[in-house]
Amino acid sequence: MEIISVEGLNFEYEGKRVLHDISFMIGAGHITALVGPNGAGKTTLLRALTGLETALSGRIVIDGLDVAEHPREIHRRMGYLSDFFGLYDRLSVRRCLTYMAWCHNIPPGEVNARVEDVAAQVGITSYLDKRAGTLSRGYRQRAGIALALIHRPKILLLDEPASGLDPEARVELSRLILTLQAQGMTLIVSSHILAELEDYCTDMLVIRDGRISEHVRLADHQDKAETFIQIALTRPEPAAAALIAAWPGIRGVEITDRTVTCRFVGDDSGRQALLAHLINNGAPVCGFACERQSLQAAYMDIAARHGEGNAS
Amino acid sequence: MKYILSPEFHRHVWTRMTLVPVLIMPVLIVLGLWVVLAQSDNWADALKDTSLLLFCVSVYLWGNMEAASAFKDEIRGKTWDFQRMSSIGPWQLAMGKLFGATSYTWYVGAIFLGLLVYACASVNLGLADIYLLLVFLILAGLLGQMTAFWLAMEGLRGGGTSTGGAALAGLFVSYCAAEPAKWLIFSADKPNIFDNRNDIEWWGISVSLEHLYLFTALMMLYFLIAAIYRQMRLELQFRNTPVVWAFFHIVMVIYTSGFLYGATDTGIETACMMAGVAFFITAFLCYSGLVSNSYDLAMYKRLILALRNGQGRRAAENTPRWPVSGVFMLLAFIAALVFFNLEDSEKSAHALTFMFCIILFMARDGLVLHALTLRARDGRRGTFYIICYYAMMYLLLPGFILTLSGENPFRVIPDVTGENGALVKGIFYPTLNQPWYAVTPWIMAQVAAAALVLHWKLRGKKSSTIS
Repeated sequence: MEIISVEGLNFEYEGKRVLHDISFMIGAGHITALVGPNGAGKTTLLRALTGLETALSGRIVIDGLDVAEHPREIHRRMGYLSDFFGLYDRLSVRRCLTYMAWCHNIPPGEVNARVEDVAAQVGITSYLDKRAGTLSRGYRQRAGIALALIHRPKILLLDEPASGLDPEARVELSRLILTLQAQGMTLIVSSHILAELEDYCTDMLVIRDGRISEHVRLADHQDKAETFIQIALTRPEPAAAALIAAWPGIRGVEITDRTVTCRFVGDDSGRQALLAHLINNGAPVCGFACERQSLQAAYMDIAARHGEGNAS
Repeated sequence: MKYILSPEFHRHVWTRMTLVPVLIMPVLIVLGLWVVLAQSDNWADALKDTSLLLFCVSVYLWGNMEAASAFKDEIRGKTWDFQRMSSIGPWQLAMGKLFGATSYTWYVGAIFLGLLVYACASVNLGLADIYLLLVFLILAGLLGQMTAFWLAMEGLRGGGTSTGGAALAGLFVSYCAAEPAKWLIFSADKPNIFDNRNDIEWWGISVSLEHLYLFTALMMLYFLIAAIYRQMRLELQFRNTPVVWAFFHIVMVIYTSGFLYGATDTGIETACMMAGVAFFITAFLCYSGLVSNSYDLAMYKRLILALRNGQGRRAAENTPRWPVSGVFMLLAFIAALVFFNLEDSEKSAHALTFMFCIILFMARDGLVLHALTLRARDGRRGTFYIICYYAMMYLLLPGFILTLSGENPFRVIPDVTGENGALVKGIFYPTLNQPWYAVTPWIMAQVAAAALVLHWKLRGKKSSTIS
């Protein structure tokens, strides 16, 4: 079921068209990576989704509500962390969160518990009484996410959440995002660093020059995408290589001593059939390793297709 | 845990009203006053003058600066998106931000106000006058701070970056609004300064000066609160229709016309004056609307789309301010045409030509301002272009042509003898001394040229078209 639906969205900034006729839908509970080169319009699209910027034309419906008609109702359902956000540096983290809880009309009796709750969720409980201005980059990011989560939104939009984070903090951010998804939240995470989105995204929305060039469900894409396969043999067996090369969907077969490497286009059942075919035909297989295409590779595929499209 | 007044106000109290600044300020004030009073022969007068001065500095100067930068601080601190994404209402946010940002200056001001009241009581100022004094001083502070806050918000929304002008405008408003308080304080030896002044006639009603001042200040306070609230609504993505803006025109025209009622011997003469004043008020508001709306190309496009789709309310929500003012201005001009023709004198014809020239110059400037700012990459560049335009059209070009025609370009009042210089001035400024047929074709040509420039700018890029 779709929770975000965008139809014919056009956006202009100071007379320049930034988003061109954008349409897409995002299902509830999905984690969508919004990817594209710098200046492609990722931040503008996110801000238009939040209703912080008024689109020139088009329609955005979130959780059944038109953003242009009900911006404040949308804000009750949505959390947003912009790429360059600030905290009230002279206040403690607890007071920052308390203030935001008040702003979201959380009943006074529940505010303290909610603050403790969200702090525990993002792992900043021990920093609650420290001044926000003294937090390290990673903990500032967590505090920012806590501010966006304080009202328990259904949808969370994160703009470049991992930029400037150390590897450990990135792993923890990934865990947090997966936890939020497990709690039923829908997330859109914008980034141009694809490696950081690899661990948790279910969808990828590719934006280029203000246009959506592709919207893929990553699981489907990976089924259809090329897989790199490495087959280990107990002994050198040229016949095995011939068997592999003859199988439909196999490309680029290379033999080195007792190892055959190739590329295969097909889903899990296709790979299972290939393995069964080798064993049934007496190939001395003792290892069968598949490496799925990374998000980066998937993106580069799309980028290459886009380039070809433009060229033609 | 519950907040005080509004979450935003409470947040400001947390950051500004901390223990050390709250405790240290009274100590500093007592020490400072002790030094001043020790060197004075008349302690009451010295206390009165010093506390008034320091009240003005803390509330009118410091307070206005704080009010002007309240909104900018949020944008600069990159916390504005969190506030806009919250459920806080425009009223709570606007008033919380304004009074929160100025809370410490009011705390300091309250100390000086207390000292001022004590000093005034010591120099035999009556209780009623002290009450009036307090009301006027506080109202002047509120009016100035609200002006600064509103203008800063308006400026930042238009892409500006500086809030100094807004603070200065607030200071000016505070200075004007505190005028009755100054009379009271510096005439403390008299029982009631207002008793010695004539009452004012307003729509035939005799109104005392202090009541008129009070009424005017409260009226302006209402409109400033409405302006701030509505501006904040826009920031929080609510939409406004220009109803309050239209109401403001009506109130201002009725208010100013009240002073002209019965001011002349004949009814026609009074009607002419009222129409003239209504025209100038609406023309000023129209011009201010042209300047403030010129940066927002997207608003015009949304308006056109709404009109095409027959969405009346959406069209009203995207209507700039200037067409509303323009309608009132044209109504006032039509009224002036009717009444001035009834009066039928050469002076009337000149006055009508003057008004018509103002409309034409406004059209020219409006078209050029839109052409310059619509395509500017940022607000600062747009402002730079506008300053260049004004300098060129109102100073350099007329000065250059006047110099060529042998006139003194630094002579401010046009030559009434009908020489070339007077005509040249009539072509670049609204004139009272030329017949309409001598100057309006030149100005119309400028309007046509400005329309062509705007048309050319809008056609400049494909991206500006509406899909």
